[in-house]
Amino acid sequence: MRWRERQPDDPGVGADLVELGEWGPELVALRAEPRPEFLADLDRRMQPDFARGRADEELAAQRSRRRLGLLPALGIAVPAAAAAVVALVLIAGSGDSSGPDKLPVAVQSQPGPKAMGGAAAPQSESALSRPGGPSAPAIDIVARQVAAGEPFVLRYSARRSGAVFVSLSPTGGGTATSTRRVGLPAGSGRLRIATDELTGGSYALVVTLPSGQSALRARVRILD
Amino acid sequence: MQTAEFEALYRDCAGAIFSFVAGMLRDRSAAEEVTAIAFERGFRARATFDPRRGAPRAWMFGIARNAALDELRRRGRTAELPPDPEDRTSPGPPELAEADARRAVVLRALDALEPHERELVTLRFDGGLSHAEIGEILDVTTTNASTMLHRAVIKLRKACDEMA
Repeated sequence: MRWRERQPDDPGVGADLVELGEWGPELVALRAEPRPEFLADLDRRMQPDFARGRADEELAAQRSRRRLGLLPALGIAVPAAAAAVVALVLIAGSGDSSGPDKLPVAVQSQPGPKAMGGAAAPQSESALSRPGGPSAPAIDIVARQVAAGEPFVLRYSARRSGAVFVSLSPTGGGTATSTRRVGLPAGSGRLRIATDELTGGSYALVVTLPSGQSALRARVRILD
Repeated sequence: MQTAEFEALYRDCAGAIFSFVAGMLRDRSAAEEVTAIAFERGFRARATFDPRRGAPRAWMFGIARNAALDELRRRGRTAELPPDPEDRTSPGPPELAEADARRAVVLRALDALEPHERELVTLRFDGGLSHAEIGEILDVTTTNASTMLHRAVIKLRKACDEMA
């Protein structure tokens, strides 16, 4: 299907029928009209889909309203006019860690010396060569591509508690970038970045250490 | 596209979609099933509708067209189906015999068209689509759609005149 273009006014079916001359009325008479019984059957066939669709949308709207309802109380401004604004909600299970902007951040971690070697810990990176040194948290991303409404999940492990800054910004232009400070306790765990309020497309996901070094830099995508 | 928008689209064009599909298939019973399949497909695909790329009506007709073409392929034949007299003409008193004969001429003339020409005629006169909507469905400009339709109509008229 082509991109829509400016179109002249349509001449109307009647104008084209005139070109058929005396055969125009016969062609119109041949048009098959649907039986009322068929339309009624079709209504019955489609109604369950429509009902399910409305229910799903209402549920999604309720979830969205609940999330949006949290934001004013937390002092987070969400500029509605900026389509590319990123609303980050970082949730990682239970815990008491939160950034200075009081985002609802909870950290699910497995504290202790096994943190670096835990099941959730990123394994591909050498601790010595890691930005920020061996004591800095190691962070990687589980999947760089998620369906709309699904969260990006980051795995982390840290020998000691600290903080990182997470930002997500569209790569296709726009200046809106939301950065959130997230406290991480020692251990390993996960961060979830909600995408409910984001449009599909490509984004740059950056996790920065307090020193300014990048702990993770990834191009991610939200599918439409 | 939200469910309510799709439902409104369904209410708006279910009859026209059926007429278009019936024109493609020349089979009322099959047209009913294909119309239903098309709306079910459309409903499942409603999230993929992009208003920047065309009107909802043209999008839905595109889905119906594909469903009708699937049906024609499944049957292993194209639109050269024998016309169903019960579908396309109706028996009546003797004074209507001439009208029926003239409609039979139009049906034969339609069969003489190339498939793409017949599809253009069906989209316009059975589906009631604008030139712009036809262009969106066939992925051509509106100007091209108008030109192609004009040629098909002229060819249809000529065929009718010759067969009369």
